[in-house]
Amino acid sequence: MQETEQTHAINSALVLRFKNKPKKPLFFKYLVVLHESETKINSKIPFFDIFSLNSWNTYKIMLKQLKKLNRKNIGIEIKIREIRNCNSYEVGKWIKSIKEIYKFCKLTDNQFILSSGAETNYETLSGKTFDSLLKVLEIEPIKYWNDLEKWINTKSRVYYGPS
Amino acid sequence: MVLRRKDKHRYLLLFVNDEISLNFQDTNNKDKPKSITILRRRFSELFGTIEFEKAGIKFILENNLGSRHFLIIKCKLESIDNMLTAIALSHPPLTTIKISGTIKKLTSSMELEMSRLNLAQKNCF
Repeated sequence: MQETEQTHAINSALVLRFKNKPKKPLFFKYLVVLHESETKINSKIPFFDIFSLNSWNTYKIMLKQLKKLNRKNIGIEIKIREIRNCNSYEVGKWIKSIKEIYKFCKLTDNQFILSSGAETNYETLSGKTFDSLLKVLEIEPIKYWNDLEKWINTKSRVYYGPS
Repeated sequence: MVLRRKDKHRYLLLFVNDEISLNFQDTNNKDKPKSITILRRRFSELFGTIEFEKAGIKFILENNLGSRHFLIIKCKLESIDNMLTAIALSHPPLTTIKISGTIKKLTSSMELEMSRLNLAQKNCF
């Protein structure tokens, strides 16, 4: 596949999510996502860029295990989709836990990622909605987006072909 | 210092998908969709009844809406962040299409969305 200006523009705008690291170099940006439910955190854990958290009762244990693992500059992902069908009491607890996760990410040089987790068009969220959510979570939106952009640029590796 | 007489408001255009509009009809109040009741409850539970009253959330009944998939709600500008958070955390999910200061601008953008939706439906079949 040859890379033109058009494909380069598309490739730089999209970041794909993979479950495993691809064996061949790719022309587009990608991130390897590991789900909490699919694996146990230990020293034999495969390579990953993002760790997706989804259980709010055990998040403290997960954070301890991640701290022990001592991998710098990983992304810790939180999906809004998973909290939508919970009651407001649980949403309150979720907000409190997110504040702690954000603090953990800051202390351990990891990136906090707030994602819609949308599986259909109806579950997608606008930028303004994300900003409002971040304000409720006491996270400064501008700082969050700048940090995330920097992190994605450093993490996503693209193969531009032999120079 | 001059006191501003009117509070600023924002109108939000929301999209409700097929599943919700069919399965979540409010049996007590036919004029008010169930999704609005869910949204109001979520807001008051998350931010408290005082904030809920301050937000002045109103459901706008527009005769020329033309589609049951679209809803317009009005809230105070100072409560827009709380409102968007409540929308994002509501179940069944609601999608915010546009936020506007006037209802006229909102309905015009809604017509555009409807034509897009019709086009997408035509392309599906």
